[in-house]
Amino acid sequence: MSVEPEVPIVQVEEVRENPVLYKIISSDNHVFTISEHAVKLSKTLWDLITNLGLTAENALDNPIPVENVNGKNMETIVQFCERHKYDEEEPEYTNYIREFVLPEWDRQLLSIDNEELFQLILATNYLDIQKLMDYCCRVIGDMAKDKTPEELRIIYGIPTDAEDDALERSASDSPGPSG
Amino acid sequence: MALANKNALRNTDDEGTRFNYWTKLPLVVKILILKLMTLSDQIALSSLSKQCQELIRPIPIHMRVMCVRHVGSDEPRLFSIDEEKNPCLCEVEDIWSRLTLSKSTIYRFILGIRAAEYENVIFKNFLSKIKKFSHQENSIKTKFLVWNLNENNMEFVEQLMPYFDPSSLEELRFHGTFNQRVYEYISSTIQWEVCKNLFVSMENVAIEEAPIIDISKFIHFDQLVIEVNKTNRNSIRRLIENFASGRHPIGSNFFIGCFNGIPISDVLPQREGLPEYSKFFVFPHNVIGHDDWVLAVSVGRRHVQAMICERDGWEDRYGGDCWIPRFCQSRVAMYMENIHLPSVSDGPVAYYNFD
Repeated sequence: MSVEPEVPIVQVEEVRENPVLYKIISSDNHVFTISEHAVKLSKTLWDLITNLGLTAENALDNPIPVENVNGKNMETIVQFCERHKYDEEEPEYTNYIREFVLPEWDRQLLSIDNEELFQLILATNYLDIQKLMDYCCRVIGDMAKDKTPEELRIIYGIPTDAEDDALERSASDSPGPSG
Repeated sequence: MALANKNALRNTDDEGTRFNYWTKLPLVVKILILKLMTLSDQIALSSLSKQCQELIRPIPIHMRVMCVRHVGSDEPRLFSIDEEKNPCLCEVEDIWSRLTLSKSTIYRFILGIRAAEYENVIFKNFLSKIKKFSHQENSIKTKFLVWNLNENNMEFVEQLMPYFDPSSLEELRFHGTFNQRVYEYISSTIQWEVCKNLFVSMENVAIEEAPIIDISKFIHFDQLVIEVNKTNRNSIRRLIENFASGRHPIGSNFFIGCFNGIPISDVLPQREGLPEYSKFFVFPHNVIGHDDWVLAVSVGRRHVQAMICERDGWEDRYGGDCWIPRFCQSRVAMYMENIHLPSVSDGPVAYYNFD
């Protein structure tokens, strides 16, 4: 499998410590290089790499196409993974104590508009990157902090029961794929 | 009201404070967002629609501290603080069924307000609410269960204790009116049997009113501290007499000691009317804590029982006053294992004679 890049390779971060690099092609044909440690943060990508049998020798010759993620989101994701590739494993969650601090660097990275954040969440969900998903969700969850129910309805655009019922009715009334 | 509504909708016009893609998010992402919200935000959000309620209902609750409070009425509320120090005061019915989920955990659960006048009514109401919403008995998983006992709430110990899962309990703490009735009930529970640490602070109980205990019921504790705050010359005399009386079924030896290896005769000037101290006992710092004095120690085959008196400060140790009135509190402590225990055969342990 060898896909020629149509646009210049985006070198998000030079990786000196780890010689094993992989190439990823986004849905809009941007090509990214990512280190082995970083790519392991994405369960989906790492499973793909393992299943494809990519090794240090052939990794750069076999770019991995990711059709569900565009270049903009992939750039953010690669930046995030490179930044956090050497993070220590999360300590065992004791069920009693859960400390969750969103670091400033990540808050800046995720200071993007609604549409971008939504797309990034979908991409992160697809690529199965738990830490980035936690951070994205925290950014959205923080919007609710100390708000009244009325404010929350506006902030998240949450429908009322009547609106939910109406949506359900219209969904069940609409013809199915066959008719 | 109009003003209230205006205030209620602050900061929602700005695009940066809104997220209009909620309805398009995958379910799993919505749940993760909700899990990361504070409890009060979760409760506020669950009030928006049935769908929100359904989303939040199966999410376990993890809290650092939770306690029963009432605000301006007899209605009990639950006040909690999470690990990030976010406080939440909420209705019992809003969260109790979630609290009883198998994965919910409360690090420290506090019951009772010291000397609360209306606690009888509050606890009655609290009990009737939780009976409706509990999924099962023994359902609250907490590591530390704290009871602030008073005359108005001690009857509820028996009714509420079964709601706490013994398998998660590590420490039981009782403050206040730890009387005979409470002792007899609690020492017969499975929670008592499985718990590793016990702390009892008998703040409202004079030594002579303290429960008569069966020491065999205490030997499974890794750590046990019983504090008695109402001390005076007579109560200390009474306690010492109890120690010396042999009523405790441990066949103990009894002697007077002083913490930190300081000969008590150096610290306490011999005066007319005061007992003579010829021997002292060195107790490790890490066992009874700093700045504690061991006033009386009872030695058994496997454990030590000690009455420890704390003083205001180091300087007072060398003060000229008689020691008894200056002790701010005393406590009886028992440590079972892993400490070096002196025995009569080890050396010159003198029996204390109070006469």
